[in-house]
Amino acid sequence: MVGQAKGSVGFLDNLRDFFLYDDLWRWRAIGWTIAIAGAFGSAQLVFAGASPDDAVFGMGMVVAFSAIGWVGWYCSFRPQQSVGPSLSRRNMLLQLLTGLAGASLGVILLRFQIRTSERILERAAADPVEPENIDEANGLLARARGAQVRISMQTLEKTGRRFVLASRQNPSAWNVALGFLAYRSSINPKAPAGPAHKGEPLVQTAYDYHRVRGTEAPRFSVTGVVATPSAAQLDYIGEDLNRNQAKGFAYIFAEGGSMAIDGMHLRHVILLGVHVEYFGGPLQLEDVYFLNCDFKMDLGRNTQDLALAMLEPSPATTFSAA
Amino acid sequence: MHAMADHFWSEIWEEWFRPLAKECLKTFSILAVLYAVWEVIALMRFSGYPEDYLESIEKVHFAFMYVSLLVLGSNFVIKLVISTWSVKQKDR
Repeated sequence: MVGQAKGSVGFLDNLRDFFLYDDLWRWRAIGWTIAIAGAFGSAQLVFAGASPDDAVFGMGMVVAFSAIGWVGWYCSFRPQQSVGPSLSRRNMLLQLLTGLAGASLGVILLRFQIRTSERILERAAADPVEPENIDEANGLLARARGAQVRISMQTLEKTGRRFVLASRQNPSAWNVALGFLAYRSSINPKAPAGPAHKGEPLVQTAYDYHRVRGTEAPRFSVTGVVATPSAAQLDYIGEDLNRNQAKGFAYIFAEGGSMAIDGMHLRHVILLGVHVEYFGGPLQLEDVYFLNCDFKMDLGRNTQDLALAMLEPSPATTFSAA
Repeated sequence: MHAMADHFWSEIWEEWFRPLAKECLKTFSILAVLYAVWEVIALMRFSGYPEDYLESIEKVHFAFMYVSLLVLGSNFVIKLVISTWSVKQKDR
C-alpha cells in the first residue's frame, strides 16, 4: 500500500516536471509528434488519397498515441539527467528572431504579390485596346483569383473601368472586363448576416426569378425579419408577391447554380457562387452582393454600365437600367 | 503585507509568466514559419506553377499546420492546467 502511494506520487511529480520544468524533453516530444503525425497526414492526403476528414482523424490518433507514449515513457523511466537545461537568453532571442523573420517573410511575399499584380494591371490598362495587354490582364486576373491575392479596390476600379470603356472600341477587352467582375466578386468582403429573428412570428414570403435553361437552380435561404418597406425582394420589375405582408425577410441568400437577372428587381439579395447571366435588359439592383460569382454578359450599354457599377469600391451594388 | 505582495508577484512571475512567455515564443516562431510557407505556396500559384503540384504541397502544409495547431494548443492548455494545479498544491 505504501509502495503504491510512493509510486503514484513519483509519477505525478514527473508529470509536473515534464510539463512545467523540463523544456528540453517536452519540446523534443512536441517536435517528434509534429514530425511523425504531419508526415503520416501528408502521406494519407497526398499518396493514399484520403479525404481531409479521414486524414484529420488519423493525425489526431497519431498525436494522441504519441503524446501518451512520450508522457508514459518520461514519467515511468525518467531520463537520469533530471530536468533538462533551461532555455538560455540567446536561445530565446534566436527563437524570437526566427518567428519575426517568418512573419516578415510572409508579409513581404504577400505585399510582393499585391504590388506586382497592381503594377501589371496598371501597365496593361494604360493601353487596354492592345491585344497583348488584354492577354496579360486576363492571365493576371485568373492567377490572382487562384492565389487569392487581394488587389486594392481603388486599383481594380481604376484599371477595370479602362477595360470596360475600351470594349466600345475593341470587343476583346470585354472579356477582361468580365474577368475583373469575377475577380472583384471573389474578393468582395463578407456580406451582412442580417438581424436575428429569434421569437419572431413565422413569415410567409414568395419570390420569383429567371431560371437558366439546362442549369441548376440556386439554393435559397433567408435571414432576419423586418417591416415590408425595407424587406428583401426577388421578383420581376413592377411585381411584388409580398405586397400584402406586414413583414418580410431582411436578406435573401442564393447559393450556387445559375440565375438570369434581365427584367428582375433584386433588393437586399446576396448571391454566393452563382453563375449570373445578363444580356442588357431592364434591371433594378438595390444592395445586392455578388460573392465569388462569375458572369456571362453580352457587350452593350446596360451591361457596361452594370460592370462599372460593380467595380465601385462599395461591397454592395445598386444599379438601375431601363 | 508588503512582503506578501512581493511573494505573490514573484510567484506569479516564476510560475506563470516566465514559462508562458517561453511557450509563447516557441509557439509564435513555429506558427510564423508555417505562415511564411503558406505565403510561399500562394506566390508559387501566382507565378503559374502547375496546379496538381501545388495541391500536393498544400496538402502537406495542411497536415503539418493542423498537427502543429493541435499539439501546440494542447501543450498550452495542459501546461496552464498543471501549473495551476502545482500552485494549488504548494498553497496546501
